[in-house]
Amino acid sequence: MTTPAVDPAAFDAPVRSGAFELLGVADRDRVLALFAALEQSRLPLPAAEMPGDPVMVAALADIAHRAGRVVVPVGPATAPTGWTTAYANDITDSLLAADIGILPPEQRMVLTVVLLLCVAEPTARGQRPDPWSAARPIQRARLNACQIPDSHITPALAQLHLAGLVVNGRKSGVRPGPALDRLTVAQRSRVELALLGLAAPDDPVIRRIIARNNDRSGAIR
Amino acid sequence: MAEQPVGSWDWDDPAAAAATPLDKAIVRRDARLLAAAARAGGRLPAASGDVLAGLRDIGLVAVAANNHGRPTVVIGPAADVRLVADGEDVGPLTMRGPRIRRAMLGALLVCASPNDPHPYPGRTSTVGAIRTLLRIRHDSPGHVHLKGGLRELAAYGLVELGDDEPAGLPDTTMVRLGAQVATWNGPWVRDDLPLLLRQVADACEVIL
Repeated sequence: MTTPAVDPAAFDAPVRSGAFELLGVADRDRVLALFAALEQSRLPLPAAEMPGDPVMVAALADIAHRAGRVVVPVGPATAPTGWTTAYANDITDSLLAADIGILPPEQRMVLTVVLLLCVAEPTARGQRPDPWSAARPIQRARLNACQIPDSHITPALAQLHLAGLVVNGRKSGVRPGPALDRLTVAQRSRVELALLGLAAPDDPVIRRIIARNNDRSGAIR
Repeated sequence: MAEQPVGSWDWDDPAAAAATPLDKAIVRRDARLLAAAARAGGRLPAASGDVLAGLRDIGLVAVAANNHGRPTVVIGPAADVRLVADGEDVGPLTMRGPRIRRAMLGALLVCASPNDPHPYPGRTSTVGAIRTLLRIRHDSPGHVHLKGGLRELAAYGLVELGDDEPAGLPDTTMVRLGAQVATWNGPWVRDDLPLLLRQVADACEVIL
């Protein structure tokens, strides 16, 4: 068994402000290059490319924090298969409040159906895909069966595919895309709860779980 | 008093008098939110540049006026990521797959000059010029891939296609480099990219 280059818990530690400035010039360049790779790569960076040195990890977390971002593991929490970046939870709330980065209704509708079929359904059967982008694809015909007009589905899928939110393969089918790996645990839980609410809006247990979560973390949009 | 999380809005704050949430962020000098908003929405009021100066100084973001002359700035994380490893590897795009790499290379070849210090903003060209340069036949599978790659680049803000990205992307569609290219920096932009552009320009001269 190989040891991951970075401890999965390393980025859970409080951000050490100014950790970046403690590095020498060459190490600063390395950390900036790594951050840019995490930000720009369509797919998560392999775990082997992450630094094991705690000083570099602290510097990476520091500059991510300054840009309103956090470094998140992809895949099983104890043994991530890769790493990527996401918006920090407080920043996500502010962006939502400012109506920035919100998908148009047609795209949201199609993405919701894709997540219901690819993530919520298998999760209910005890086969939760982790990460979501590793979910088994569904055939495009299943979207058409959801009574969404094709005139909505085709352009929405094209835009969602470009944004990396779904992978729309002509032969392989439709599945969640790598951009959905750019979520913190709290953000993913919000989406999962929202999906639960959609799947069983009248279930009293689910309603109680959602209400409790709303009390804890603010409104779900 | 409970700690106010960074980036949240306090309506009793003087910043609340500002017009939009981004204006408020400028008043509050909230660089985290402005940087994140730029990533999510792409464009910020010009005054954001001042708040983001600290991030720009450490190379975390770049600020560039967009090439429509609008009073806005566009920012993105500095992308000093990947060296040009071979003829088709273009900076941070090495990880995005061959189709988009080829389209980006084509856009750079027709829009950027090896004599300029930076490829951005470059000059305006057309989809047809890229297709011709890359020797892709009209309506071939390669042509479809090129158009798909250009659309993907437009979604990333790496190219701009015409005024409204016309359907079908005919050969006459105008192409210019997108403002995200302004964020490229580092040795591969300074040294390797001009060399690559010069080599291709020399090769084209020989062929023509």
